[in-house]
Amino acid sequence: MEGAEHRRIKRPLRENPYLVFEQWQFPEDPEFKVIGRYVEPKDGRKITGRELYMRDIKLPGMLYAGWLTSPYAHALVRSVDADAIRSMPGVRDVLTCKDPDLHVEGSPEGLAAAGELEPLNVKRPEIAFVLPCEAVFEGQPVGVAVAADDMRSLYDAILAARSKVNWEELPFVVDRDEALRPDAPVAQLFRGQETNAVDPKSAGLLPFVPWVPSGASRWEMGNPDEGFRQADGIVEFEVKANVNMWGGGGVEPWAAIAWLHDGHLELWIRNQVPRKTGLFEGLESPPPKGLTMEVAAAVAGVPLSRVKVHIPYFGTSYGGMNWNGYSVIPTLLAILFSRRTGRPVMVLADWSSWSGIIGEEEGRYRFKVGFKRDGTITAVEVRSNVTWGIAGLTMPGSWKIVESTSIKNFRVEGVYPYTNKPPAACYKHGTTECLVLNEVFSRVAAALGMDPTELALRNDGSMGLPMHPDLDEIKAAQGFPVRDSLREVVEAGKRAIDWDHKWHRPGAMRLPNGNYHGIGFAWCPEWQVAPWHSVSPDTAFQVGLSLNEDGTAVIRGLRALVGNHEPSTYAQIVAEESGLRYEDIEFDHEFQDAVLSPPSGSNGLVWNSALMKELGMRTRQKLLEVAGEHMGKEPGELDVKDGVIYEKANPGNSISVGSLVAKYREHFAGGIWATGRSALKGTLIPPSPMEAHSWGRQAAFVEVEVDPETGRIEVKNVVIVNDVGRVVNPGSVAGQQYGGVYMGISRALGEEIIYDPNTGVKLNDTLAWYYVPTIADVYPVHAIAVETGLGYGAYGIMGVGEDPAALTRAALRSAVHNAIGRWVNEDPMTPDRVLRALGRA
Amino acid sequence: MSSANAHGGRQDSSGSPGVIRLTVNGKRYEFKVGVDVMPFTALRELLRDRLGLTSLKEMCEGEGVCGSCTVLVDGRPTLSCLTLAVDCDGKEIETVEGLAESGHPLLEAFSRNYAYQCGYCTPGFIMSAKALLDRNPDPSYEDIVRGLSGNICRCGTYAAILSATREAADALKARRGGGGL
Repeated sequence: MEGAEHRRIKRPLRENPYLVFEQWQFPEDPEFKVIGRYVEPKDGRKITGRELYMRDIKLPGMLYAGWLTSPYAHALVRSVDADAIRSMPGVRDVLTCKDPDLHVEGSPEGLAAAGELEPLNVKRPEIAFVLPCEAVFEGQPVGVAVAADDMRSLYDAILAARSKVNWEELPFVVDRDEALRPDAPVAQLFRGQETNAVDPKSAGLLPFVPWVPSGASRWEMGNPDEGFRQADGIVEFEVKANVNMWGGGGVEPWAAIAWLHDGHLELWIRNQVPRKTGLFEGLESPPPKGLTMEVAAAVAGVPLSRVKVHIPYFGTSYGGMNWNGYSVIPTLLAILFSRRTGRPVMVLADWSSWSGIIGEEEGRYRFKVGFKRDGTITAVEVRSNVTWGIAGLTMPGSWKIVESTSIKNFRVEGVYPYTNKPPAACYKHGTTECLVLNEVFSRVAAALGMDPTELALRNDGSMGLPMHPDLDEIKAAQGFPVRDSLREVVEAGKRAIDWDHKWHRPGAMRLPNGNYHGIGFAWCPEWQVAPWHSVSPDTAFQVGLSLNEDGTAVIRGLRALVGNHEPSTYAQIVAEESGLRYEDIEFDHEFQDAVLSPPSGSNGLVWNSALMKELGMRTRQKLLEVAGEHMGKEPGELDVKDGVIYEKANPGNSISVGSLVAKYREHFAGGIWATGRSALKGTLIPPSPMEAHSWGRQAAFVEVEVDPETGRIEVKNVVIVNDVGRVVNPGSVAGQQYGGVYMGISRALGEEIIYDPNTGVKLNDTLAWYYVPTIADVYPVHAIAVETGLGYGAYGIMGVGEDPAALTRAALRSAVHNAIGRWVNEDPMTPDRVLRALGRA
Repeated sequence: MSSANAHGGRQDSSGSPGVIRLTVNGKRYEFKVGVDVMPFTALRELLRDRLGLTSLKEMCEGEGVCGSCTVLVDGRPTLSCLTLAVDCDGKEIETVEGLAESGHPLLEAFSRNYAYQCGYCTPGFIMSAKALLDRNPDPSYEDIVRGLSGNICRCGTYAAILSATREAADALKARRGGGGL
């Protein structure tokens, strides 16, 4: 392995004491003209205040609507005095949960019977649709909704509605362990539910626990009992991860607008998945989709041809709510009110309460890990009691271990007890999975007294296969470079944080100020949406490009812009491949007829890079063909650079793109289209997810001090190293890295939603009471983007948005153990829990 | 002839409804209290609803903890969601729209440094940074941290915001003839 001194290291961004950003390449890696280089961002106008977000939009005669939320963990609305609410000033319409309009064509099953709406909730239509009469968690929209002339009238009416409802409180349970007791109240999330411990598959709930392989609640690989017999040592431990990441913490409150007029439906949607695509077709258990035009059309009673969708800028939501059926409620309610009033209607979510729906995996994990003296892990057993919302995204929190290690023997058992808490959803996905992986490695490294980076390298692999030589052979066969991603990110990170000098035995270093010093390491793969399901023949992904007579071009496709600087990255790739100038290319993200890859977040660029690459290649080809006709040359004799087509042998013989388009309009009138299939890296796409190996690796290194008197953890230094495959836009990559680091630190140290066990009510769902890091919590971050080309996207791209937060949270746990020599077995690691670990509380 | 009333608005001698006069981004406006603006109207509502200044965002729903509705009132960073419009009678208000019109270096610096992701909180940050640079043209990074600690960015763009604010300070210094760093 070549050392860092042989690398090409670029530092394209302005740095400061809190940020260093480097791109690490090998000299033999390809150099691009636009890709990987600094460019002026194309979405800068969103910061001027003139670009509209959802709540900035005003339409003629627009009404404002909202709903009552349940103040109880479990309650039934017996009756509502709708007339009293209706008579209030400014109130235009009142909808109660018993209103016939909430039922489609009189179906007793309500809107959920529309089939498409199944993802809205589980198996109880009467609590499933837009406005139920029974709330199964505090904060759930329930009972009554109001549309009013203005926001003040709306808020007054909702406030008054609280006293106009006759409630019946019902038994509830919010504690995960208590929910499993035989005499526990049943959460009543679906019809006929008799116990809170439900196998999601047998209950037919897979839309809510997506991507669960068959038999996920108990899953084995290899022979775990034999693996434990072969072990030289076994560690057993338990970790509890509490609910963290409150979705309302510092993002734009959710809203939606619908305007049903003259048989046409116009929507303004705040959702990462504005339109259904073929992405998930063919899967055994397709995940819940966000609101789609198809669902909206069904509820509005109009054909799809009469639905138009606008996607304003939106304060991003990091996945989260978009992957939960509840995200459709504002839009469906807006459609209903618009249908009833004939006016455009904006629904304003009661953000403080409703956004509690978003969380992260909550759970209790019991581990048993067998290992040999040389660090080879022989068997892993994880028994978990986890949130049903997203924990079911994979096997109970353990998929990353399977996906990215050579460990051959697993036993994973999970229970998903239902409780009267809101469903969870990922929020920069994967922190708990990453935590589970790194708990296994950190505890074994500690038991052996082994450098954890060495332990990681020893067990690197995928699906039980070692990285060398087995997976190297598969890499080569699939057309990937035979690079060792984990070794590269580990080497880069160790060098940046000076690991070899700073790492020490756990609890072995006290500083002159009395604090413990600690340093920690974590690793994982980026959670990948591998193209194994993106290249389905049914896929609807495509993108278009229009060329204009002034030489400019517009990329056209439907996609929510979530803050990853997509207009810039797309334009960079198209410019690179087409020969157009970056500054001449814009992105129309509301083009209805070409759907770009959802989920408009996780790994969005993996697939869309292929779309854009193919679009750029086709654009270049088209320009060369038409120019060849014009110049009397073969396309191969010509080239395109900076928006000019010229003869390679005689560069003076040229024509600008604008002039060519003006002269030959008919050749460009239909636009240029691409589906991206021809540009995916590794044309030998694995046929199934079990063979879609994740080649890229990511690592975090964190240095801390722990005050033994107060339990306070102070982060001194963070190094985050991501193999991104290939950097397209340095500004965007760096932003995902350090932004994720801050989120990971706050998750590890403080973010937690507290529920009152006596009432089942959240106690801290406002920004005044919930800790969200500010710039005052900024930490020195050294961000390194390693480029191995090992991703499935074009140019070998892989994602970077998920793992920095996940890794930093896990690395902090390792660092605190290295500091105090004790494990903090409950997360987040608040001072009281640190003191408890130290035996001082 | 007018005099200040209990809410800071002015009432003329004829007893007609009081008015408040604001200078917003250099332009003067007059609003009749009880007609154009209620005594309980927040400055944020007035600027958004009457003047269409959409840069005043909202995360915390009026709790005054997110900073995304920050404007400058007589040069001081102010949470417009917690400030009554009538209390701003006679004052000068600045918003990001004004900075965009005047070509303030902060906007270019935030854009150049990718100091935003979703961009929702950014106008509030820019106004806090403007207030900081007005009172401290040569801030250290620690000064910037202190000056902007009242704003929240969930995307965590803080590191780039530090670079952008410092870069804007350099640009302003260069404009004044002091040369850049």
